[in-house]
This record gives sequence, structure tokens and C-alpha cells, in this order.
Amino acid sequence: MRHSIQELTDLAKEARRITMRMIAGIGKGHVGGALDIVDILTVLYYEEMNVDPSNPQMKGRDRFVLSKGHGGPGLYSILAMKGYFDKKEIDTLNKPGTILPSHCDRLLTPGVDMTAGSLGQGLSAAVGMALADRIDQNGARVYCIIGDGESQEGQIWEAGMFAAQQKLGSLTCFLDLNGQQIDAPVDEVNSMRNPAAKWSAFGWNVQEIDGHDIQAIYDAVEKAKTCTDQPNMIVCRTVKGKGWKKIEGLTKSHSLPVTAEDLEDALRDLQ
Amino acid sequence: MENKQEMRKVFCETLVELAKTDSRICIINSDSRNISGTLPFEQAYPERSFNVGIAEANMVGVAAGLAVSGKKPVCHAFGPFMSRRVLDQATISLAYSGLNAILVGMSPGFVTEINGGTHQGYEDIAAMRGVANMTIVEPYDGVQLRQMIPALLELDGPSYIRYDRVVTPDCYGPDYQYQLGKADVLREGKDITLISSGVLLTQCLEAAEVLKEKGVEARVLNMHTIKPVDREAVEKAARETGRIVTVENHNIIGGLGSAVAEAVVETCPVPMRRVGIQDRFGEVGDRAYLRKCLHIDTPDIVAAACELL
Repeated sequence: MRHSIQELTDLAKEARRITMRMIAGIGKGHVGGALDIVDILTVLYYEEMNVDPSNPQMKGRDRFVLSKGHGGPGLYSILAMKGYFDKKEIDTLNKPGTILPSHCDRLLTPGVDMTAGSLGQGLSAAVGMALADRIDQNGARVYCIIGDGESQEGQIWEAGMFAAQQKLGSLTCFLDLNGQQIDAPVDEVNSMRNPAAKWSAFGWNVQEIDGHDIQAIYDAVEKAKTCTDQPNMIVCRTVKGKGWKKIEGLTKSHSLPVTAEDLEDALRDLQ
Repeated sequence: MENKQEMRKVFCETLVELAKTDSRICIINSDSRNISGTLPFEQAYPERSFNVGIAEANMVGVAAGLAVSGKKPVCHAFGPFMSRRVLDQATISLAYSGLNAILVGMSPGFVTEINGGTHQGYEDIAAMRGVANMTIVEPYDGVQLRQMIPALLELDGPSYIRYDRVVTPDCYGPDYQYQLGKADVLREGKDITLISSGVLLTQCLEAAEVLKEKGVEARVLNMHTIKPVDREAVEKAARETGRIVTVENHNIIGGLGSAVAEAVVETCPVPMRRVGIQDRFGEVGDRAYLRKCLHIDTPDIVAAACELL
């Protein structure tokens, strides 16, 4: 590892603080699903991915697709910290003319490889990127995060079947198993039952980890690299809204108002 | 002797030829290889050929991923499934994302014959027209199709091409120069203009002959690019002939007739009639039967023209 666990933990905290500042700047937003992916993103961008913030379109780079596009602010915080764009942009989230829209947009944000927002579509795009890498024989890897609510979309499973058929070992997907969606807990709306067994049955190489355990995330990604003939699914048990204690695990954390007082509260939690 | 070409063969030959110098071109089938006739491409370029199975939405999503990584994917499915089933993917993963892919909607409308109402897509143009940055084309013969494909590959956004796969007589000669977005005059006339695209141009040309016997000189326009529609050609037809009949293998709501009507009212309002599917679904039958029962046959075009004369 290039960084210590403590360093990565601190970077993740910084990313969460930036995420909160961003959303507080516009007064409301998708807090829960942006905060809960930050540990995964920290490991990917600080340890794993072959990318160059000064050359976001670098040929042969590793790519990342945030299929649950509403987690955009979580990704933007990491991209800002990595230097993909000026940090002052973080104060423009969702404001007119911004390069940081609520849902990820490849045409607006340096470092964003794929547009997402209509749920269920990103994994297919990640599969297409992995196929392109195979054609180009460039050795690149593709990473993707899907949500558990998002997994109610049939296209996720279409992409899952096809990735296994194509033996896309260069593809690693994280399932953000935070257990919540807009209306209610996922299990009350339309449960995935046993996601690990499902993905295993679809022919993927499945690991199950705590999605906030930096070491476990790193180890799982490293292990995934050794599997060359199956796509990799890392089922991440996460807490929606992770880091801002007041909303952790709550259904309402999906999207909610964030006042100046809320920001102070969250920043205290994130010291 | 009249020259004929199998349209799907033309499509595949063109892709194989272009792919010799453009390594970005990929094809994706949705269990449609035997329908699209793309096996020669697969044999020539197996590493750039994919078959996602019966999963059109995933096909378009995968195409988007390929396009992000610099490829030029060409997706194949029957027309209704390449539109109805993938509208959101075509909109968000392709058009909104600013990515080029060619969506091939094979066998549009009534030409699916005995596959019946489920396979007769009469709403594909309406669906795709509403998507910003989506180009829509429909070739009439193999000569035109051959020149269309490279033009679509150069676009900044996605395109939807609907075409009849079968053996089709050539309308155009070897000197034909295709221009995306510019309608072709197939027959000159001063009294009325018939505007169509694809297979029903044959009925338009027949109708023009019938009208000639009645002393009416009908212009026939091939509006092969349905979006963006050639507003200049529409305005010119309106000014010079004063009457327009559109003829389409599609619901009269949202298709070519609508596109032409929009251009007519904004440039040079003249009386119009829209021959096409009258907001109903299809049924099983052969082409001749379906043209008759769906009221898109030569006599229907003549009758519509006579209403305006």
C-alpha cells in the first residue's frame, strides 16, 4: 500500500467533510448515498486506479463508473482532492453553470468517465469499457459501483449475465449494500434476499466485506485482480449516510435538507 | 436490367469494408445475427463482434461503454425493440452522454409481415425524434444505404436507422451522392409534392404515375433523413407545388408526417395530408395485404392527393 490505513482513513474523512460542505452549499442533496461510498472511492483513487488527474483522458487508464449516479458529490470530493479540477468548484454543486451536477455527467466533470442518473445503466457501460480494453489489449481495469435499490432494475442483471459470459476478469463491481432506498428499507420494498448468492449464481467471483473497512476494501480489490476469467463483485455492507451520525442508516438520509447548523454538526462528527 | 441488392448484405459489406481502415467499428447483436446478416463481419473481426443475447437495453448500455472508450458500436435489433425497449438507454447512456453509436432498427413497420402487431413498430420514429441529439435515417435502396453508414459513423451523437433488410431494387445510379439531411428529388413535379422515406417511396412513385394520367404533375421527395428533417426542401415544395402529402410506414402521429407538418407551418403553410398508420396497431399478413388494410397503398396516396387538388 502506498498509504497507511490511518492516512487513507483521514483522506476519507476529508472527502466526507467536502461532500457535506458541497451539499450544504446548495442546502439539500443526496447525502446518504454520497457519504457511504467514500471509503471505496478513497481506496480506488489513492491506491488502486491507474489514472492521471492532470490528463483525465489518458489512454489505457483504469476507469470508474458510478452507476448510482446520485452519489456524485462523494465522487466529486475525491476528484477535487486528487486535483482533477480546482477545489473552489466544490462550492458550485448544483448551481447554474456548474461542472458538478447532482448526477454524474461525463461531459461536464473532468475525471468522470460515464454519465449516470437513470438507474441501472452504468454496469452495462462498465462492461462495454472492459470489452474495449480487451480489444485494445491495454491491461486496464474497470471499476463500478451499483446500489442495492438500483439492483431492482433488470438491466443490472442483463449486464451481469453478459459480463460473466464474456469472462470479464478486468471488471470489478462494488455493490453498495446500504439497505435503504427512497421509500423504505430495500428489504421492505423489493428485497435482494441474498445478493452474494445471486451474483455467484450469475457466474461472478464474489467477496463480501465491510464497505467501510479500508483494509478489507484494499484486500478485496487486490484479490479481485487475481481472478482473470470471471467478473468480480465485492458486496459491501455499508451504512447510508456514514460519517454524519445523526442520519446514519436512516431511510430519509437518501436526500434531505442540510442547514448551516447541520453542516457544523456533521463536521464535528467528521473530525 | 434492373439492379437489385439485399439490403442487409449491403449493410454488412459496408461495415466490413469500413472496418478495414477503421479499427474502432464494432458490432453488437441481440440474438439477431441471423436476422442482421452480420456473420461476415464476425468472421472478419471476431474480437470486435458481440452478441448480448435477448437483452436490448444492455446492448445499448454496452455500446455506450464501448463508445466512451473510443469505439464505434453498431447495434442490431428489430425496429420496435431498438426503440421501445431501449429508449431510456439511447437517451441517457448515448445521446445525453454525447456518444456515437448506430442503432439499427431492422424491418420497420409492416415489412415484418406475419410477425404481426408485436413486431410492427409504428412508433419508433416518434420515440426517437423526441431525443435530443438523435439523428434518424431511413434508406430507400442499397446505393443510398452504402453511403449512409459512413456518414452516421462520423456524427457526434447517436443515430437510429430503420431499414428493410430484403432484396430491394436500386433506385439510384452509380453517380448518386448521398448527403445527410438533404432530401432527394426522385421525380420533379409542380402541382403537388409526395414526401416519404423507405419502402413506401415505391408506392409514391406509382401514385405519381397514376396522377400523371389525371394530368397532375407530382413531385416525389425521398426524405431519407427524418431528423433533422430537410426544412429547405419542405419549404421549397410548399412554395412551388402548394400541396403536400406525406407517406409513412409509421403512425401518422410523431413520424415523418409530423416532422414535415412542423416545417410546413413554420415556413410556408399549405394544405397537407398525412398517409400513414392511423393511430392503430398492426396485424399479421403479407406486404400487399398490410398496405391495403393499413391504408398506405398506392390508391390511398392518390386519394389523399386528389383531396388537395
